[in-house]
Amino acid sequence: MRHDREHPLTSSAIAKSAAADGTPATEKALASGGGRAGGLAVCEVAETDPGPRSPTFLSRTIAKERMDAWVARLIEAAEVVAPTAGHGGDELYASISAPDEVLWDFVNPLQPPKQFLLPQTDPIVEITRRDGHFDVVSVDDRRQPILLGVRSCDATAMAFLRHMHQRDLPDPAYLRRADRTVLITMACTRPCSLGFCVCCDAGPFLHEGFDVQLTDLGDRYLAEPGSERGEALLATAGAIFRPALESEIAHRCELEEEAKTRFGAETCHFGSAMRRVSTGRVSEALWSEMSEECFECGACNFVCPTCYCFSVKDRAHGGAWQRCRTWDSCQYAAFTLEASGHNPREKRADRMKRRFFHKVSAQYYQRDGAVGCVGCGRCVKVCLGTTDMPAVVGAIRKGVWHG
Amino acid sequence: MHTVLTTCPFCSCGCAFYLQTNDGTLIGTAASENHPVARGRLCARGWQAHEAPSWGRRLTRPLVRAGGALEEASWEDAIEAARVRLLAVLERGGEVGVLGSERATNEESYLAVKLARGALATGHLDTPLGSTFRALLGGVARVAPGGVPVPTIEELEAAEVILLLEGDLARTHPGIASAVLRAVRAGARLVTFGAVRTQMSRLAAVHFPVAPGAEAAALGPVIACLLAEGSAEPSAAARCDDLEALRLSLPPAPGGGSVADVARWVAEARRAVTVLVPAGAPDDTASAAAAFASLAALAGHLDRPGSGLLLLPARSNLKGALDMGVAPVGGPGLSAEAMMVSLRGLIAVASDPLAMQRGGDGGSQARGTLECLIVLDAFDSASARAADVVLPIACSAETEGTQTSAEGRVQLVRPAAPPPGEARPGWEVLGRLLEAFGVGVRPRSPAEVRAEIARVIPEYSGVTEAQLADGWGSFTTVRHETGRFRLQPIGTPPARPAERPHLLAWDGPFDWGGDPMVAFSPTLCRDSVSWRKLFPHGQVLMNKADADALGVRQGWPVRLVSEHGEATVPVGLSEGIERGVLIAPVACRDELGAVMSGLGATTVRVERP
Repeated sequence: MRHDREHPLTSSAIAKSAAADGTPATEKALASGGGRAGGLAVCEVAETDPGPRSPTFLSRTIAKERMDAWVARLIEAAEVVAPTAGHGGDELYASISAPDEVLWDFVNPLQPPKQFLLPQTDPIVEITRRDGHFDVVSVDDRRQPILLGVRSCDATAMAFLRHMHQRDLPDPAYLRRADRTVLITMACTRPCSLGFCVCCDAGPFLHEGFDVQLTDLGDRYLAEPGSERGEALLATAGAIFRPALESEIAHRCELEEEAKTRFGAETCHFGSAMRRVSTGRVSEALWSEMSEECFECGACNFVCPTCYCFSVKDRAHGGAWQRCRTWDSCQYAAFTLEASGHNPREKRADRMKRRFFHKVSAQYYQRDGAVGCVGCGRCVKVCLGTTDMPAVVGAIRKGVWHG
Repeated sequence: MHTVLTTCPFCSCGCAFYLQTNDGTLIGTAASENHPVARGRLCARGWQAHEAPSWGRRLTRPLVRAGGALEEASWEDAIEAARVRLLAVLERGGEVGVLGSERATNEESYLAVKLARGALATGHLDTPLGSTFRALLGGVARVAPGGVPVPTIEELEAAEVILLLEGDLARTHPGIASAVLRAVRAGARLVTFGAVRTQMSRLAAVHFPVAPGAEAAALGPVIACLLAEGSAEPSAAARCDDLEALRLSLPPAPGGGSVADVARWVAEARRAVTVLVPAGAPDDTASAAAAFASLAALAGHLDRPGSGLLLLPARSNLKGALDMGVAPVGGPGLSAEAMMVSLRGLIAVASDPLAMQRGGDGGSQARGTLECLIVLDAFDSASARAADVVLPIACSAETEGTQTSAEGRVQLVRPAAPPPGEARPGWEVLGRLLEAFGVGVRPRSPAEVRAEIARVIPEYSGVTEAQLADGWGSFTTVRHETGRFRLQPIGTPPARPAERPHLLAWDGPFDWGGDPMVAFSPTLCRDSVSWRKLFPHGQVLMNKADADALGVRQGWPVRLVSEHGEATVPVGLSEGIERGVLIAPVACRDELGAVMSGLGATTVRVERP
């Protein structure tokens, strides 16, 4: 888990971060232990890796022309969700009924796959009035979807979301769904244009947190099982897969190293931003200035794979009442509006400050084990204003807002 | 989970998104990355577009009033009841009208026009907000009778200079505000005009504080500078008539300062876009539009590629409704405001005339002179509860049709879920009404209605099914002739009488909080519901310094006295409002209606009661 990583405020981490502040993200990523493994793929194991040893599963290979056959089998056994083509070049995760609906040449759908674990409208209990009393029944859709083609950033976020729904008061509705969902990820050999997962330890390849990780090797995919369930999934596919060759595994490791050098211009040097935000060194004036360029649309919260804030609403449905968890945004004025009419975060600047404190501070890092960001780059794309994560983190670090 | 691409039903930016359903129930909204307007973005309203249809109180059964109460009826009986009751009104010599809607599709609006003109032979036809947008169009038409091209949002984002006359663009049209912000970040100079300091005004290079009703006059000094420095583009100026009359109406040009800067920016820019949002009395809106059009004409920006005037209708398909002909016919046609008090019979299509009333008691005296009120709507409303016949229709998430955005982009709304109960698509119900009145055969599909629209309305002749279905919609073809421009003299706003030195203006042409798509969305309605709980007796907003001068604090009552009447409401203080101006929230029209008249600002005396 990422909470086993080196704390960013130790001297060695600060040294690395300071060096990274002046260097491109790629070099920083390499400096922070690139090529390390969790024992799942046979890559160079870094000696400083304190992570728990996982059992080594047998990696396999599948020829691309056999992929449809495997997907067809998966569809027979379960609901399969995969990237599909939307309108005019849009990419959307959707349930597929045939293998040819899968969009293999995809970047990353704008709507994150967290929606399959945490739907925007999520009925939790159903309340029916009967003979003067109320029946309260837990809603369980019993779905056991296979999410095919999840990117490393989103899978890392799912591990984060599991942690958030497990700590303190475990959320049975979320955990039930998460436990049943099979994750077949697609490693990023070609980083997306706005992504900065290297800055968040969330990609471009995964070392844990998946059932099967696929890597595109050209005319075939390497399939690395990352769990007993993933191992079983590949085993039942029989001769569609064959054991991976050493050269194929080496190729996968090369692709990972190469991917780390191919990131675009977005970077997020969380280390120094974390220090400033956690020690009260970001001025109120800067928050005010930045929040002037936010339009309170909530998009950042909705598409962020690690955001999970919600509201609870009742609606009439089929003769009963459904109590639903619904996505909410901490950037909305009404998010913290109290019944008295008082709003502790009436000013947009306060709401923005709170969001980034939650995402980036050391206090939350220590509590949750990770920065609240996986570098997927979606907030850069969906922001109606100019206040995406890289822009705000940059402003926090420099003390100046450029927009 | 299923997803369907559809067009946003809220403001007129023309964004699109995917509505998501599970088992036929709407559960979510996903952005479209490649949509040319939205480009992966949506505002708070857009992100919650899936809520109102499934959380709201819906009309699900045809209802007919019998013996004082509304009773369920079959579709046949309800359509027949509507026909019979309307004909009875006409036979008694009463006048009837049709109130269309800014949220109806083009197909529904087109059929509503047929109902008014063909079936009921009436010119009383309008939408609740129609007069505001018609005023903008009318003002521009005074200067450019041959028409002007409409700049696109893409052109707005690429402009070097943006002039913005607004209420609060970030709230009324967030998508356009986003484009303006992007333009400013890319180096554009933003100049804002308005009575209130807004998010856009704080982004501006120059902000002109403008009292409501004095928008045109605010432009006078800018035009004077433009003419004085001889920086008006010669070839453009040569195409302008009535220059002398304009010149005579102007104040002396200021020698320097921000006014001169603005004039110079406008003159030197190759791409300048003016964004106008209607507010206030139609006459003032028209004068403002004419003034901005005159300025643009003199600077050569009225019909140059990348420049122009972008007029923003308040709601998603107001432009489409006007294009389809939902507007009163010249003389005898009554506007929405007048319909409620003058007509005996009214068909309200996806509109809530009772709730929109301003002045008097609102609510209870609502039905006024109406003997017969027929309501077609998706959502329960005050009008539906008071109606004689209720015909339940699908909302925009459940129907197929087209909408026309501010930039003239015609796009499809596609059904993502079935309408509830016995509700039917609006085009189908209107078709049945037309058939009942003997006007043709009911259309078999929205596409059939679109084909007729393409034949009948020239601007829509180029809209093809292929572009609608496979592309990102299709632009209407705006006819304009490169002719001469008729400059309009700038009038002086009437002086305020000494006994009423303040101006009280509405905060906009309508209240988003009262719109069913917002009011019935549990996420979106929180702000207005909470606000109403905090201010159950209404509120008027006042400049803090003015309040200090009067000796009142936040929440204290103030009495407002105008020539129309008076009202006492709690005051809210704001540093963002110009001195001498008070803002009346449209949500408080019941409490403040007595003081106001219509949409325009009114002079008032403010006292401590």
